[in-house]
Amino acid sequence: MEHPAIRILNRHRVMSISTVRPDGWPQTTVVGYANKGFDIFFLIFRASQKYANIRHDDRISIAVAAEPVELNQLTAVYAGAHAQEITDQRGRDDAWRLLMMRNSNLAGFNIPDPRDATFMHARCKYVSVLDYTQGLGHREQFVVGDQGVPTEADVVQDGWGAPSAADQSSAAPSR
Amino acid sequence: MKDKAIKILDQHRLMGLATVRPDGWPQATMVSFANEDILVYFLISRQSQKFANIERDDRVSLVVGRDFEDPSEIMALSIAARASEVRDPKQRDRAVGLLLDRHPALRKLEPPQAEHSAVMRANPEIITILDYSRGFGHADLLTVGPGGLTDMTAARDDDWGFGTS
Repeated sequence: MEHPAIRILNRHRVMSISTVRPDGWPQTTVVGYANKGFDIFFLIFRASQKYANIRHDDRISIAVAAEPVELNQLTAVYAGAHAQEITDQRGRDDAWRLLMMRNSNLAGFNIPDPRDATFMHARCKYVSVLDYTQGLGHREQFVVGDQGVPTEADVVQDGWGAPSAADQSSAAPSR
Repeated sequence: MKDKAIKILDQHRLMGLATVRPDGWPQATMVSFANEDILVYFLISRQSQKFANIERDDRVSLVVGRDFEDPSEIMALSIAARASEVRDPKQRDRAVGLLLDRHPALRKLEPPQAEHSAVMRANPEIITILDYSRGFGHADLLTVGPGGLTDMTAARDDDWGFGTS
């Protein structure tokens, strides 16, 4: 059976991605993505600040969620990951195919020139899954190993301190 | 241009919020918000990692935007801001009222208790407005100082249609 976190990742196609600038300031932007299991693929421009940030520090954090109609329908995935550039042609072609399948609005575009844009790969490592259908504040945390298999989940029922999707607590468990 | 940024904020109520953990790892979460002019309010648990992050380093990054079918529809904000807790009880009540107005469903829940949850404000310092209706990758940059809007750089086209800055 597919992991609940993967089901959520499969349902979306845009994510918030956070990187850290060399001056230590966080930077978050919205980026289109596609995933294969816990492996996330996205495309960024080489001239962008976030590319420079990742070159400086490959640690990223992603957030995938849609605004729920009702709070008890909220589901989200947060993950800390290391991002790497995909440099081989086959990897670039595969990533582009995945992105095209997820984002039909890319259909009219050619694969971007590697001198301009680069495909990135990030395997979700420190993962939090919010699933309020199982109770407000329900959260599971786990680590995805090198083989792409999650460790045993740590289930948390957050105290309802904040009355919203507002508190969706930590993206990554303490390390 | 500032009005445009406020208009985009007014049209949304969920944002991506990035903070930095003590170990230097960025942390992205989704947070409900309400804004007053360009001041952004949000509510977080005092137990949360992001509250600890902000207490240690008040620099945050916010992103507001939606999924799109046509890239030319992209209209989004990426904001560098400093976050601080709203401690004054009257200001806190006002901010909670703004949040409830923006998120009526939250009225079904118990009101937030100050000992459990912190009302935060984010003061934008740099705002990037993405408006692809004006060209692929079109972005305007606003710098906000203590006296309000202080600078606006020329538009730049620096990103592929898929991302922001």
